[in-house]
Amino acid sequence: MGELTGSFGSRIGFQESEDLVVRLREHDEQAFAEVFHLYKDLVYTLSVKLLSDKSEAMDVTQEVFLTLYRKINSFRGECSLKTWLYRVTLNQAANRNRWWRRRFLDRTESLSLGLKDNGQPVPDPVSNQPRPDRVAFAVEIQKALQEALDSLPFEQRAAVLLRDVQGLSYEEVAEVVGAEVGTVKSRIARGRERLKERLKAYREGADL
Amino acid sequence: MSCQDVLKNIHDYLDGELSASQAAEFESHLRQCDACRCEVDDLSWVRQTLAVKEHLPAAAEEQIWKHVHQRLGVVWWDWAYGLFDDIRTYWRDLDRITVWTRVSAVPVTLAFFVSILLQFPLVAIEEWTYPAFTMKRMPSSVFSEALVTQIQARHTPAEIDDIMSAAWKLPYEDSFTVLAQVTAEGHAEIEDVIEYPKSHDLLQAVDDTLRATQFQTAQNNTVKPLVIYSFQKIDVYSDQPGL
Repeated sequence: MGELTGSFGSRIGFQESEDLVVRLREHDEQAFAEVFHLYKDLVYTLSVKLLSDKSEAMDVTQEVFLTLYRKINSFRGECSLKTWLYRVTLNQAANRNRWWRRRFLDRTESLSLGLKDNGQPVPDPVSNQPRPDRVAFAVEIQKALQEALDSLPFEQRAAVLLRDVQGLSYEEVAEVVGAEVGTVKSRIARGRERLKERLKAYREGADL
Repeated sequence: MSCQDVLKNIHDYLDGELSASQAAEFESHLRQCDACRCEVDDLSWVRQTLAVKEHLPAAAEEQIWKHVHQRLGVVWWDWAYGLFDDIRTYWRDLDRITVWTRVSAVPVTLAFFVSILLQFPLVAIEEWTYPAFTMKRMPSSVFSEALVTQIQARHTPAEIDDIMSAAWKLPYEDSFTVLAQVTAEGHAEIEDVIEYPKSHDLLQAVDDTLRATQFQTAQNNTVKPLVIYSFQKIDVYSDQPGL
């Protein structure tokens, strides 16, 4: 399965899902593999940004696809398969986003954004792929961004990520999070404003 | 378009939700106003920074697929995990205060407390006290309650009422239990004090009350009636200090 991103990818995904859902309901393993390859990166990106922890995000990705297999019969097709998967991802991430975790987890370690103690990027321990494109400043910005995201309330974080990272429309975000479009709009606006405030110093640095 | 309008519509502009004419108006304002342009630039920069996509590492993908594949089709495990997941979601939603969990939390909480209370069956007070004893309750306010235990069999209701009204008039917040004997003259005397009150004056007052009360049963010489006089009064008469 090639890289399917942006609106083209989501359109293809939606068209395929009609047939896919029927095959998934029959527990067709091939259909399941197709869905996994089509949506794994979307699910993983959302999870990793929601939880700022790669290993947790991998767990969530695994759980999302297990839930897909287990609960495909309760999927009534009222929304697209992608929307449903996003909803499951949010649900799973929210379950792992308990207050004690946010409170006691040492974020500097759990982020694992590829920083040694001296600030030098290190190869990703899971993928073992070098990341020559990541200069220290970009890594620093991503780290700051993740910390800023963590400081947002879960609902705001989810809305901003679904809009700005996953590229969903306001209506689609509202469908995923189960809120009114107006509420979603205000969550996105507030979330972005807070991110902007938190990242002000990096923004000035980025212009230099 | 004023700066205020620009700030109000800034997110709609970034998300392409403005109509063509509105967008043109918006942009023409940006060309003239540095502050608004900075604001838009900053927010676009945040959006761009956010939009970096992550890719599931190949090794992890393989591992996840292996795990998922292993767990497919194991029915009991699915069922157990599904149940665990539902319970976890329910508790999480309690934390997040969604409407349906709030509503369902009420019967769940009530059922919990009722199940605890059912462990202590209600027993009528006559059943566990000696059958000859009955409990009489004085008319009480929320601040006061007086209980008088009497041997019902040996006194007429009028006598009991006498004792209770006398006790009720006592201006103390106290409790005691005495054993009294009805004398040949038809009065009663304290024979034994089972539980002393805090105030000696109260004991004296009870003694005086018993001595002054005329007991009808004294006429019947075949029995030597006993009066068990147990009194608990929680009341404060601030305007009647002492007797």
